[in-house]
Amino acid sequence: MTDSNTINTIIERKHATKTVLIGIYSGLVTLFVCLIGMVETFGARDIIGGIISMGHTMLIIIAVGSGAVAVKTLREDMSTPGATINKPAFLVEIFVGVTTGLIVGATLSIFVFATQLVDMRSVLINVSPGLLEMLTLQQPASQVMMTITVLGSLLGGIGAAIFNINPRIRLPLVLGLTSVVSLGMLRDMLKIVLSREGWPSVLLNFLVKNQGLSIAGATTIFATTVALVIIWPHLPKIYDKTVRIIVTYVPKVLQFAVSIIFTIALTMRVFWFIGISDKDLPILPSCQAADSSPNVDLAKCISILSNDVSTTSDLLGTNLATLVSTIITVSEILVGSLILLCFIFAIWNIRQNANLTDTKSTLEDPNNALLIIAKRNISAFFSVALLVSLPILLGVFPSEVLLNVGLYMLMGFGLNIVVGMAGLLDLGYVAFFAVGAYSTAILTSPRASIELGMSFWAALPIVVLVTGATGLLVGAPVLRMRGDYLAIVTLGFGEIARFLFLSDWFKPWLGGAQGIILIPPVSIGNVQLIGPHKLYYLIITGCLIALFISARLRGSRVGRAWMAMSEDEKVAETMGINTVYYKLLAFGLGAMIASISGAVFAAKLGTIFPHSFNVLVSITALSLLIVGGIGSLPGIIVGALVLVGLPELLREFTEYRLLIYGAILIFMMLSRPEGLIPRVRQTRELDDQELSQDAWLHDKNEANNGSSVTVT
Amino acid sequence: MQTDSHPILELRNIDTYYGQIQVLRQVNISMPAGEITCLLGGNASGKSTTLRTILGMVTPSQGSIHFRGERIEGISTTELVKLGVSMVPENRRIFGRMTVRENLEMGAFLRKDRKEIEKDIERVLNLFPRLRERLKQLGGTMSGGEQQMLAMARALMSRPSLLLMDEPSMGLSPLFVQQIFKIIQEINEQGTTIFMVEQNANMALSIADYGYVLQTGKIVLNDTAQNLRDNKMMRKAYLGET
Repeated sequence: MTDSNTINTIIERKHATKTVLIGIYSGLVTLFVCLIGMVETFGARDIIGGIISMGHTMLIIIAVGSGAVAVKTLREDMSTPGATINKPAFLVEIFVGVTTGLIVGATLSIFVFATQLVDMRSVLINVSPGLLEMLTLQQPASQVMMTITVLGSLLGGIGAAIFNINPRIRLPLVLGLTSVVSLGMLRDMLKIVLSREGWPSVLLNFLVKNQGLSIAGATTIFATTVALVIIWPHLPKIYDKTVRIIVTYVPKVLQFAVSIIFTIALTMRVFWFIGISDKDLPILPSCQAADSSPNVDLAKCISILSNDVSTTSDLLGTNLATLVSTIITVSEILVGSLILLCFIFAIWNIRQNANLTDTKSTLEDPNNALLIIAKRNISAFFSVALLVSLPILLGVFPSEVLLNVGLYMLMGFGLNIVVGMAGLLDLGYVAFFAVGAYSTAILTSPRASIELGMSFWAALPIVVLVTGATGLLVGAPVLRMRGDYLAIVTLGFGEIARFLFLSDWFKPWLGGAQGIILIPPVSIGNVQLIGPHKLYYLIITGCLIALFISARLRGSRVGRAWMAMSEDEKVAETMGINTVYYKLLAFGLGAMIASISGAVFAAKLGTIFPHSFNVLVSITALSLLIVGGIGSLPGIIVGALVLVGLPELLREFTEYRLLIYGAILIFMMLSRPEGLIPRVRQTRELDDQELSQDAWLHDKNEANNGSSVTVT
Repeated sequence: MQTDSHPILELRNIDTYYGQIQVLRQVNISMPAGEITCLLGGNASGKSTTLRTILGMVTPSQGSIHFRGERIEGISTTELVKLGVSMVPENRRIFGRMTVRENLEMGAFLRKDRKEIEKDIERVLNLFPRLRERLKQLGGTMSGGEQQMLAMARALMSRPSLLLMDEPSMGLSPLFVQQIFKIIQEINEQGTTIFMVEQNANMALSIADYGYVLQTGKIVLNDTAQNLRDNKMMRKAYLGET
């Protein structure tokens, strides 16, 4: 008894210091974000219009988080073997939470108090009246300190209390609040998208109120998320059942016909959108005349159509010109659907390869096999449909964001071949991106020194080859280096490339600091792909091709060789792997993929400067690999969306971009070192094998003991 | 068993330097086909350098290496593997992040005959039944002994005519060492010539046909295994007799 008591008191004392420490750290973090001006910058944007700003939300999150972290640490300490109680009492937890919150609040209130005594602005320029106004909550100076401290402890207490709510309620609650906060942060984007034609304007007025979300909008979003989270676990079952019904009761021909019609409609819409064809949805000819917006109200269409069915039949029956245009339309449809089918098959293939081992057993049942294939087709179709219609739905500015995400995603796929597969840490990857962009510029721009004036498509193969050769050039001297040394040398190469582009020496050809201007846009036939919403299709095609190549490479002989090489180069050589060849191959392929990204980048901007190709590009590409999970292909997509997409959407972030990158990377290394979406094999196989492994060891030890007796 | 009078691999008067430091001095070793040859020696005697020289990772400054009569010094490791030499590296060094099966397939990297590879996987699994239970397990999660088995199985996957082994007994429990050496003997009986570098002289000489003793880069003793076991100096220096 006395023993366990002393253990408990020790833990409590140890924990008291820990709680205070967590409080102090959180207080310092709060001070830090205030002093660097983050709180004030973020305060300019409201989450809920006129009620709460992003800056306040940030402070609240820190206070609540400190309470939650303190309680979590307490629980972890308590559950160590030797302690009698595994879970601390509810009141103790609340007390811990309140204490940390109190410290955070007190730190902030002391800071506010100090600002009233001394003018700090001469040293800390961010301690502005605006910040103080935010922190004091427009209260008289006498009450401020009290209010902040009490608020801090309250929030800390809430943070602790979160742990004691039933997880069934906690999850929807937390996710609901998160969705409100994130949609509030994306208010500008929401406004841009919703104010486009085609979206009902009621939605915009309902959700958005001048500076942020409206109260009603926030409540609706919260309620919707909660409802979604609650029905989420049932969704796969519902989906399963629906697909099963479709597979068993709807005849194959009909399924096929519906998917073809969908494909045609989608293709026509995209063609209309890009501007290749001026006909939207030929099935509804009159709608086109009535309204040229792509998001025309379907109900309106149907009403018009039902009014003049006769005209439609006339159009097809008698008018020769219409007949000709119909033929053209049909041929367009054929070409478009062929392209789409290629995508679908590519994605289907990848998924099949990925799931082959899991589904082998279920595939033996023919009914299940049919179901799985149907599900795959449907999900592949809808993901392609979504990808293709994104710019149509979202408009130009969000497409610009998506285009930038796509550029980095493509680079991510290329860098993944070098870093993720071949294990060569390359920090100068931007060089290949730059070579791709510059060679495109030289080959296509009429202002370039050589005045070739080629079209983008004619230049692309040359660009890819030239950059691939550059990859080999960079790869050759660093063949014997590994790890940190390779990283440093490639970092140097990246900078050298930038300085060469900048230098006076190459100025006659590369334009020095002025760069190269007048790069013509990409064109398909007579249509010029100007504007991000059109270039989006180009980059998405590139990404899909890169994804396909990467997925195929991974399972191939080359992928195996890279994997062996990245694990143990010397042993790989004794397996007969020609490491020189495979290293150069990795560098070359990676460079080629980056060059496509660079080419699109050049065509997008029309002008390129050496300053666009600084080391930050390499770092971003590498960071998105790390955040997503090195070697994981879905991880690259998620990583690009998080690291490139989010900062573009939140203009306030740009100033603190690197700070946030650093924070995210540190956080990732601490809590999820294998990335957001780790490669499947790394987690799965390690987990379920360890048990059997140990069991065998115990067995063996006994056998060993037995036999050693007989030997001696 | 083949009665080939020619040695499958032969080192003649090899001198190897690391920079200014001479590591091997006039080393002569011959590996008769179908036999087990072992190279004994203490720490820093040049055992591993001998292997590195054979594998082409360092080039000898003097002397010649002959494989089936042809000179091969200075060719790359990859070329040597193509000729039919395979290696079980020191400390196992299996691919820890690959499954056992993938490790075995890596061993057959240069071969393209899928059906024969499958047959060979069966063959090595019969030799090392424990690996069969762990085909889908990651190499890095296995015990040291199992990893040694995997390293040997992997080396056999290229169907080598000569198998080089660097300290197969290192870091293994005595029982496992016995097991491993039994399997080495078995492999040899199936027709593979074996060249083994060992510190555990007792074990090595119990299965070898011929032995060399290396001291500070020089071959100081070479004889049949039987004679070496009876050699007085040998017994004192390596076999732990007083």
